[in-house]
Amino acid sequence: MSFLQLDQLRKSFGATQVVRNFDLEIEQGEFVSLLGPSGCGKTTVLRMIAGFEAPSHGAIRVGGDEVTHKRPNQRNVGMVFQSYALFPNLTVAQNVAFGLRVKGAGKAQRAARVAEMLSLVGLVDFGNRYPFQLSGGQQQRVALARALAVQPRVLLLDEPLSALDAKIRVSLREEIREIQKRLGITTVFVTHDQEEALSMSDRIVVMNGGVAQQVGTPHEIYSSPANRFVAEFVGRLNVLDAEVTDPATGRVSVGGTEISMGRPLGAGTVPLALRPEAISLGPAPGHDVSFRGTVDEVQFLGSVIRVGTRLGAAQVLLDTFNRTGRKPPRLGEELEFSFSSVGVILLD
Amino acid sequence: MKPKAWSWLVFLLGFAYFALPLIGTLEFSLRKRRGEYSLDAYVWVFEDTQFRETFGYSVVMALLTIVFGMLLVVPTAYWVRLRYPRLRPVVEFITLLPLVIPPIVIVFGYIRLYNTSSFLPMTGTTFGTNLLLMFGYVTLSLPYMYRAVDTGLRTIDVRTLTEAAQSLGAGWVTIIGRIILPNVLIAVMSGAFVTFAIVIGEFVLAALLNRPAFGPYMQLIGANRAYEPAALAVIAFTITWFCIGLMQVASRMTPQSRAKRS
Repeated sequence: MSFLQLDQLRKSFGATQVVRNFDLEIEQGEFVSLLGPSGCGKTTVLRMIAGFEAPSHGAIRVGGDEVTHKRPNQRNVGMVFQSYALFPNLTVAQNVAFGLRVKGAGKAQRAARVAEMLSLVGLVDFGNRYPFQLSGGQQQRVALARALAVQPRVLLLDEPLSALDAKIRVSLREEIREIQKRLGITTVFVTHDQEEALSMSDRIVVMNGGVAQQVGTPHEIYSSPANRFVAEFVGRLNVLDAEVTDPATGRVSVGGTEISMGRPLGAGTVPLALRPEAISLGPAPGHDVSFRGTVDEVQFLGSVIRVGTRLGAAQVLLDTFNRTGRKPPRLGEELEFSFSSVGVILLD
Repeated sequence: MKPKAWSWLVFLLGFAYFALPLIGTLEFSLRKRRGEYSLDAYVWVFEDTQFRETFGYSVVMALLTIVFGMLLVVPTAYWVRLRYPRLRPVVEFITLLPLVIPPIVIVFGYIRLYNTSSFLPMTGTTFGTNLLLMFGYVTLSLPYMYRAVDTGLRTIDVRTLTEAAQSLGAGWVTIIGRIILPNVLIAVMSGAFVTFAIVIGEFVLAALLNRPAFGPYMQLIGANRAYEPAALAVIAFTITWFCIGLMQVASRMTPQSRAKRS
């Protein structure tokens, strides 16, 4: 049986349903991200696990115990907030020791645990400082240490990186993941940043409108999105409307270019999607579909060059690595493009 | 005139408005001996045991009022902010009532409600009357105390801090005592200064409840002596400011006040 179970969770605020029939099973030690746009209900799910919101319907179980109606301070669930939420009147060490003190741990035990936690987050010498004397990244590491100090059964992270600047965000996310793996703590991470979700998670739950759209590994989510929302929300996407030319064998045509989908389709038009990195300039091994197009957009992004052209009525963007000794394409240049029909995503 | 000169002029006018009566009182209090300045009036006041008793009584009352006011206002303002933000205008209105209802009305209400033949005969004992007086002072200080604490709560993220503490296993008493109160202590202090000043000079409640407070004593001296009331005013003024200064120093010792200033 899985460690954290969310069973048919529902939450309404007045007449608006924020979370609808949400089911999720998380294994012990797993890192699961709830990913979605703002207002999709991901934070509400997290707050229900923490006990800050009571579900209108459904059950929450941690390690087999039903906690649905327990108060937040009885759940032993650690939480890290976007705004750090360090206690401004306490030092770093006192912040980390807060939960232990509440539990009635002795002074020596507290001191040992605080030292252990501060070394875990790399802030050994910061114990006597006050939160206002720390940078955002340091404050969030203290918040993490504080949440972990009481050895919670589940760690909840509510957009912990959103308030930080880009560089620290990347380094701290690696650090959080590393600590999570080392402690083997079951973690639920809420984010609207797909890159964070893809890079950190064992599994991702993509949410929209209070409903889980897809649950899967980052690779599954990215490569075989379950529906149009997931495909468009995670990563960049070129969407093409294709004419079905042979429904039985699944052949479609986009602006005169024939693609074989390899499975029967209904007649009419179907929406197809292609990731920018699935298309290459010129022929490439395994690419069975090619077309010629005029370059109508070039964005130089450093390691990657994003090139735009048209396929049928739609603009397609493709990403190609910037290689030394090769000039980026010029606007107006006519080039050959190719992609593999295997990489084409059929949107339902 | 330049804007700067204008602001100086306004400052000087304001300063004169506050300082001139004080200077006048001080000067008059030194004139007890004919033809020369002396401290005779002060000697008289300090030698009067009633002065020490009434002033001590009022200081104790003021401190108790601050403590009880804090115990009443901090959890209330916190709870309103956390759970019932829609009730804020209502609670604010209630806390403003002591400003529009004269103390004489309040104290008559008290006496009617809590007299010896009532359901709760508080005026029947000295302790009960003292308690009633203190609660009366708490009521009088509500407008200042509530506003100060509410402003203090605005500077911290009450909700998230509460949730953070809850997720660490803390109950309400711990949250209010260890997180909320220390973080609004500076605001509580500024409410406390006003409360202290109100209680020291309060006359109506103490006089009608017949308690030996400083206000009625001042009135008594004022009605019967010439120079001593002025000396008394100067002394009371100095001690009150000294006490407020002490509270200010005490509140500056806390770490978060250092945080706020840096």
